[in-house]
Formats: sequence, C-alpha cells, structure tokens
Amino acid sequence: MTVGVVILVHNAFDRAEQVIRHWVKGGCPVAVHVDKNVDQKSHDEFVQALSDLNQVKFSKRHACEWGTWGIVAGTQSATTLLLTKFPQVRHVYLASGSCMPLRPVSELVAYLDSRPRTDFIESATTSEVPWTVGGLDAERFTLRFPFSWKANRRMFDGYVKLQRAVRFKRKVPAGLVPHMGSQWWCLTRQTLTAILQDPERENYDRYFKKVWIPDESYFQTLVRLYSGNIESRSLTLSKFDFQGKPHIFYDDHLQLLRRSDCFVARKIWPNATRLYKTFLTEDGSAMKGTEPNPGKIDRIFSKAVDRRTRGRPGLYMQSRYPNRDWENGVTSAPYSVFEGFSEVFENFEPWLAKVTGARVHGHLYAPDRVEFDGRQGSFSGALIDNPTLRDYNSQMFLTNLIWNTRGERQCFQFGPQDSQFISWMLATDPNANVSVISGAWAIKLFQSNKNFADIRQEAAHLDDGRICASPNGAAAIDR
Amino acid sequence: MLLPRGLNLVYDEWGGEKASGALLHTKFLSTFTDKAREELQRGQHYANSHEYKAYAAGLEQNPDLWCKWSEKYINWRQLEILGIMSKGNWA
Repeated sequence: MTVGVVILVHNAFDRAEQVIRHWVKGGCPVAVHVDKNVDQKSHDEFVQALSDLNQVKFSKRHACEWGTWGIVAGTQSATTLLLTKFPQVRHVYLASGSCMPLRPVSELVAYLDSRPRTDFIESATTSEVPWTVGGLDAERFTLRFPFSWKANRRMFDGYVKLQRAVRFKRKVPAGLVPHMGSQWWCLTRQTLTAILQDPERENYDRYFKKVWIPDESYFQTLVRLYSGNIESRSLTLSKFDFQGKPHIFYDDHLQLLRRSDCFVARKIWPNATRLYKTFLTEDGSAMKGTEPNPGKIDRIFSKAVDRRTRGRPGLYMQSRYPNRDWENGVTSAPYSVFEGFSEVFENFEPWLAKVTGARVHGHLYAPDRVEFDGRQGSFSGALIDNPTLRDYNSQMFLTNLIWNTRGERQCFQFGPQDSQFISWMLATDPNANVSVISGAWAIKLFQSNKNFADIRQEAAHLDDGRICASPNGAAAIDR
Repeated sequence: MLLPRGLNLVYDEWGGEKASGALLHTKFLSTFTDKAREELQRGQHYANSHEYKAYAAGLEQNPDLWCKWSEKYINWRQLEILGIMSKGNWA
C-alpha cells in the first residue's frame, strides 16, 4: 500500500520537477495536471524533462482560472488517472507545484499507514467557520457566478448585487450539505472512488460548476456523503494574509517550517533556494516522528496579520499614521494627570515619585518650557523641552512620550495656566487617569504678592481659559 | 514601467502597519567630520562642493547628536521594537 500524489502545476516548472522527483524518490507515484493556459512549448518541455520517470503520469488538461471549476476538473482527471494507473495507491495527497514536503516522504507514508481509513480534509459548514475574506460564504452555494472575478470584477459584483436584489437562490442538490475548507486534502481510494464513480456525479458537477471557488467546497462537501472517518484538518500547512492571499514562504522561514512538524507546506517562493536545498536534497531528517504542530507557526502568522491590520496602539510613524478615531488606542500605555495637587501639597512631585516609583514630570505643557522630570533639557526618545516644538503638535508630543517610555508609568501636572491643546485628548483617552482638585490654581495667586486688580484679572483669565478649553470638564474629573 | 499607484501610499490610515525600513545617512556617522573635510579639499562635487561647504560649516560648531537618551544601534529588530520601522505583513 502506498501514497499517491496529485500535483497541480501552472508555473515554476523547474521547481515542480524537483518536487515531483522528490515524491517519486520517496516511493510515491505522481499524477500531474498542467493548466491548459500554459503554452504548448513549456508544457512539452516539462513533460520531456520528466519522461525518465515511469511513476509520473500526465492527465488531461483543463483551463484553471482562480475561483472557477477548472481546478476541480483538473483534480478529478488527475486523481482518476492516478487511481487507475497505480492500483497499489491507498491515500491520494493533493498538492500544487509550489507545495513542498517538509518531512521525509517515508514519515508521511508511515503516518498514513497507521491511519488507513482516515480522510484528511478540512470540511466545515459556512456557519461553523466564517473565515472567508470578501463576504461571500453561504452565498457561494446559492448564487450564480458566470462572470470572471479577476477579469471582469464589475460584472461579477453587479451580478451578485442583482441576484441579491431579486432574491435569487439556487437549489442545492438533495442530500448535499455545503461544506468548505482548504483546497489541499489527503483522501483514501475508497472515498475518492465513491465520489468519482457516483451515479449522481453529473448532477453534482453541474451544480458545482456554478458555485464560487468550488475547489474549496466540491470535495469538502461530497466527502461528507461517503467518508466514515474524516479528520477535518489539512495535512498541508498554508497560511493566509489579511487580504486572503496565501502567505509565501521564503528562505528566512526555514527554522519556522522546520519546527512546524508539518508534512507539506505551501506556497514556497520558487527562488527560495535554501528552502528547496534543505528540504528536498538533505531530506530534512531534522524532524522527529511527531504529530504536525502548526500552532507555533500559526501564532507568528496571526501576529503578522494583527500587525498589518491593527498595528501597535500608540505608535505613530512612517508606515502607521492612523486617521483620528481609528487608532485602536490613542496612546500605548496608561498614564496619570494631576491637576491642582502641586498647588495644594508642597513637594508633591518628589513625594509621588518616591511612593509610586513612577516617572513624575512637572507641567509638561507649561507655556515657557516642557517641565520634564528633573527639569532636564531632553527626555526619552530625545524629545526636547522646547515649547514651540511641543505645541506644533501637542497631542503627538504626548503620544510619543508615552510610546518612548513603554514599561515606565508616566505622571505629569496639568493646569489652566498650561497650553490647553491636549484637553480633549485627555478627556477621551481611556489611558489617561486624570485627578483634579478644582480651583487649586487660586492658591498660587493668593500666595503671590501682587496687586489685587492684577490678581483678579489673572484669575478671570485662568478660570475662563479652563472653561473654554475643556467643554467636557465633567469628563476630565477623576475616572 | 508603470508601477501600481498603491506603492505611493506608504502609510496605513486605519490603524495597521505597512512594511517600512530605515535609511542610515552617512551624515549621522562619526566619521563624517573627516569625510566632509576631505571632500572639501578634493573639490570634486557639483556646484563647487556647495553642499559639503555647508556640512563643514555646520560641523565647525561641533554639533553633538548623541545625548543621554540615544541608543546604540544593534540590528533591524531593535529598530522595529523602537517603532522606527515595521515588518508590516511579513511573518
């Protein structure tokens, strides 16, 4: 009993040849489907290059456009060919020319030998896993898609809209429950022949020809009719980025792929010389006979998606400059604002620093200078104490300060005599911890030895400024 | 060749990070003072070494860009952690 491999190829023929030779060397017969869009010359050269291997067969060719039936038709042809020509095949592994075995073929064979009746195919109903990008999940099965998504997007979208408007719905053939999952599966001869020789197949095929992206649903749905033992996961490691395109593996992913313990990975960049060298010629004996463990790789790749879509909160830089209210957090960490405390308590700042261990600044927004902790001329991230520079973008001055000092709590004093541009931000930022002793600014005036008329005028100014600058004064009070 | 317009949109506006790098300019290296002097002598640059004259004049005032808050360069991962550049979608 052995494992047969169906390989779908449409480019990078030199790499495909390399991978096919690797499979054959490992004892696996291979059936190849070459996209009909590939020109005859390239095709012939490819066939010629592999002509020394009688374990490799080429199937009838179908034109494969992404998201259309051709890919399923090609898979059907190649699978049928493989099962007919090589009766000793028990499991069929579906792969593409850019898939690469990460572990020795013998380990995959042994793994499948000990699970002779198991079908490995990711297969879930649309409601179970709403992972699709672009909004078409259940509708893939109930609308018609006669227009090309790639070449004729406007017609594609328009026709979907029209069908939604008139509430058009196709009927799913009786007995079928639509399932979806990764295109890359490994199924048993029993299950595959049951699907391919089904008397109803013509009927099912006619239905799936109009389903959107049938390569992610044809086998995934039909397998539910016949298989007695489905493991709903793919043995092929493949990751998708934030736009739903497959992540491509490069040389720098070598260690990551090694540690994944997965049998096969896609997609590999054709020029990733080091990956091909390591996994195909040295026969990657680095991995031991363990279960595939895509968890580690999953974490790293979902982190990449998270970074690309949500980013690091509180970071403003050359490639992350979010629109207002799209920041996922204005600042990167909590900080404290004290209003009136320095006026009421003598030596408040050093006391606070001693008690909390936090970094305590003076009035960061004082009109004449930035009062950094210790009244230094510059601070973390080489921010300088120039008030004009600060007021040029006072909100970003604070977001930068908080970002630059990650890991250390920042506190600063604030009051009506300060530049007020950040009042609104302080009131709306959940990281701002604002404590206010209202009216404490009057104490300084009271203690000053000024003429009464001057004091009155300044008090009016400060009081006024305070009210104008924070229309939501209530929200600014201790939360 | 026409490049896609999206390449001009270098930063993300919805909160995410795009991939970005950093360019280390020779002006910020410690060897630059000597280099500027040397180039001024050679006088091989355009517009009568106009640019290098300006550099040399600036360097006369001995501008020290190093401060207590400066960080020693280690590698690109450090620059990423500091938030100066980003891997964006790269994993």
